[in-house]
Amino acid sequence: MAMAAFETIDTDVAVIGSGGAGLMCVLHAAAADPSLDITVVSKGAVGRSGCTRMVQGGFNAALDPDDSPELHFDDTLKGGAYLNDQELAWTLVCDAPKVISELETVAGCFFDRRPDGRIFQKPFAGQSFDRTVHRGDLTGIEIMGRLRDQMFRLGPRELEDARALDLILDSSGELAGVSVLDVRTGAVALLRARVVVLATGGAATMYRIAAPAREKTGDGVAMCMRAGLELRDMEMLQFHPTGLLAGESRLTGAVLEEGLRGAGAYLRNAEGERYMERYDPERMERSTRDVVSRAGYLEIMEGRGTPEGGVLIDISHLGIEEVERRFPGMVQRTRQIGADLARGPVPVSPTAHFHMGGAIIDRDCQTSIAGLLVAGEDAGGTHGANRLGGNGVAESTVFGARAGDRAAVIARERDLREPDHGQLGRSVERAFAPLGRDSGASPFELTRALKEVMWDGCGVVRDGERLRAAAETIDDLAERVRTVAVPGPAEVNYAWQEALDVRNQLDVARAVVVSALSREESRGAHHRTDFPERDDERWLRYVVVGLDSDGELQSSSRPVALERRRLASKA
Amino acid sequence: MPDYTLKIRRYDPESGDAAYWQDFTVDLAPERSVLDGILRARDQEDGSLSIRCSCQAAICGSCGVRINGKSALACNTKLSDAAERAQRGGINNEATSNGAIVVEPMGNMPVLKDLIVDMDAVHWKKIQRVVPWLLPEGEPPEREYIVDAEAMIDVTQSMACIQCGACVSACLSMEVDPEFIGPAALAKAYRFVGDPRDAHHEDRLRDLAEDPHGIYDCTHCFACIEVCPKDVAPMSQIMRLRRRATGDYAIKDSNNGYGHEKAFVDIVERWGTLHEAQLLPRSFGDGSLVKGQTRPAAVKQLIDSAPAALRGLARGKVSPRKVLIHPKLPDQKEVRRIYEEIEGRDERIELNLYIVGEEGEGGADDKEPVQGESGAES
Repeated sequence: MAMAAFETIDTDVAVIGSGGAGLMCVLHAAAADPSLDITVVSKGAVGRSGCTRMVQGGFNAALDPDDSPELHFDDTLKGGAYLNDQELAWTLVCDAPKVISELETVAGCFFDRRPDGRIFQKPFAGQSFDRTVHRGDLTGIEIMGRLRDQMFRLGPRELEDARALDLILDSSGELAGVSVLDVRTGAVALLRARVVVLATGGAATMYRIAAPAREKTGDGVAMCMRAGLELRDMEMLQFHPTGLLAGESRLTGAVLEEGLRGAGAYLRNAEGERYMERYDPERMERSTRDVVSRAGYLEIMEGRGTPEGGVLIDISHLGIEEVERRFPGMVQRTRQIGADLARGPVPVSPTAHFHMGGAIIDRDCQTSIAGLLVAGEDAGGTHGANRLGGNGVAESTVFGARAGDRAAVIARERDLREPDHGQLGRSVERAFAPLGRDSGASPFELTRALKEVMWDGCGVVRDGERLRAAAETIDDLAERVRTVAVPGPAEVNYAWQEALDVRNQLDVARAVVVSALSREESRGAHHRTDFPERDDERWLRYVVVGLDSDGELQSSSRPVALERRRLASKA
Repeated sequence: MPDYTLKIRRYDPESGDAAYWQDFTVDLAPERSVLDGILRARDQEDGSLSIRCSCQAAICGSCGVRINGKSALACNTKLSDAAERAQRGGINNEATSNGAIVVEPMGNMPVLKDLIVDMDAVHWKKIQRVVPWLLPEGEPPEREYIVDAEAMIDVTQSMACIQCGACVSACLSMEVDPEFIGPAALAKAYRFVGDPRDAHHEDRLRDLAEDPHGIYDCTHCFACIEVCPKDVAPMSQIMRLRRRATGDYAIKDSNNGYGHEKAFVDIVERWGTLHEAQLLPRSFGDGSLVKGQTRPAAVKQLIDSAPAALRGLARGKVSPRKVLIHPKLPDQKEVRRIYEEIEGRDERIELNLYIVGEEGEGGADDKEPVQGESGAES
């Protein structure tokens, strides 16, 4: 397949991704310097892709005079099992109140109020203070809706239905820009930029059962990896305990909220047993996210699951009316798949939800490549080994804002670079190769195979043997992805897009499996049956992986800098 | 599992070919969505079949289409329901469905490819028309604006909008007047007009009332309310804008929306029933009979309405006698009492049938602290 000639677009700041981090970055960069030329690249429609929009829970910020960033910080470290990059976590908790205020007064968000007219904050698990700001259960829509509106005020260039392929360097190895593919036309453009901000979201979609929006395929992390950046905490993947099971429907994995268990829902295996008795007899179903996820996963893996491969959540004993009144959204969601939460048990399974790991950044989102910033789920460190509910959208917006501020500064200092045309050509050639093959592997099959191997081999509960087997399978899939063939033209060819997605997911998956193998202990979201205990003596260290110059994945570990907080009592 | 046939409208403007229908048969469970069906067809039969989607849980608002002629989110419509509707027939388009589920791109917007429409050209352009951001006065507070918690209830409905464009697609007024600002953008406007933090309520209302394609361009057809997947009830928000424009700011608009309403109220207050012959001149004269018959602009409008008046005469709806003498209701005291009671209220209570469920619902549930961690929080 002949590749179309491509145009070059010059811009000051290229923002890849249009979720909370990406649009917050635009907002800040434009405020810092209104003369900046800013370009947003979005795989879907601007402001309606990604997961910020799906946030139901809320946004953690220490607003109350009786609350403090210190308390929020301690909760965040405790939740993260002290693996967090403390500078990033400290930045998160200090900036969160500022960002809430900005979302309210600049962007125009309208969060729920207390009777005295101030912002209402609700309790959320794992936190010592009621600090979660929300707008009913539509917090994400409110934030993304207002940020999208702000884009009309600011008018950045928007490239919609466009995906970034690779970071492009100049001949001396400095960042020149990013190659971009228009999904609708199949045309490639080189986006030359003084600053590139990656904010594409994580790759939890590489699991058979997963909650995130489908376009999130770890593109940013994979691009970082291919550009030689180091990644941290890649083994830390959070599973939510109660994802919906609906066969091959995309609703499979959609989260049934934690509040159900809080309200007294039972979890049963196919034999009708309330199996939490064997895992946490005291707290039962109300145990923490990681414990409940692990219990469900083990029940299913040990053959006590339902025919659909799940366990059952049942809250019908509260009565139809009560369930409908308290959980209208959840009842509606289950009815969409032909079940009915108000009237009986619904099949659920742990579902891959959020990736704590990602690119290594400093508190201004800078990486080891000058001019390259990374914000949101693409970056690692803020949440350590586990993320608290309500810290996700806080991270996206806090670090998106900081990336915007920093981008404005760098844009004044950095020139546009002439790309290394050899590298650019290889990037495009590699992307277009599947179109030129008459026969080869099917990308949809590869995706299915990847989801299976990640679920079985590197899921909620792991062990060395299965991880090694998974690594081999992934290497094999990586071989096959090089032979993938997609019929049809370059215009709107979803099989081709799937091929590009699975290539990125495979890169990320390899990093996850290698990191999981090297962490020989259990901590936070990472649980190894062969190393079931947390080992602070040996493993208060974070795992770093990266490609060496031969393209081999290397892993090492570094001690967590405990500069702000020493290890408190074991959580 | 049953087979469902999807009759999908295909179109690629780049190709130069006309749009055509293509049937796809998919084998899926009845509770699966029409979107699942389309994606199945795309993955198994034709990788170029185009539709936008992201969350598949009716949150992102990307997959708006028309299913059997009705605007909806594909992810939010079950195959079994769509098939049943198709069987019942009554599909208003050129496709002979033969029981197939007919899927077309949304209406009132140009098609980019297959089921993807150009939201920028219509929907987002109209959204921008209403200045979709907060316009507060003065320096922002350090933390947040102090706002009465009750104030939010008024705008919750419009805040629930996910910008899917289903209402724009279904809007009959827009079909006739493509310049109509439309249901989604006007619902959005109410979000700011009802927001106590915004300092430009009157300017916004004046702007939307005076625009000939503004709030008085809606014909109350309810189509937007019917198709909205999020119960935003855009038409209700338009009615609220009108009520604010007239009731709170007495905005006199070129569409005579203000005059028409005032004429109604004044006439009924005076006679107890509608004095049809006076309605038009009073409407054109901002409620005043004298202005309606002397002000040049009003006189012109009155003359323009002559055919309507003549038709009224011909059908006996009005007669020379009725024009001159309109009997008052016998019990004028009761009319007075109703007016006094309504006008004596401190707050406006919305009795309009278009406004639903203000008292005793909404709001309270939102405030209930959620136990445990998040829901689909991410």
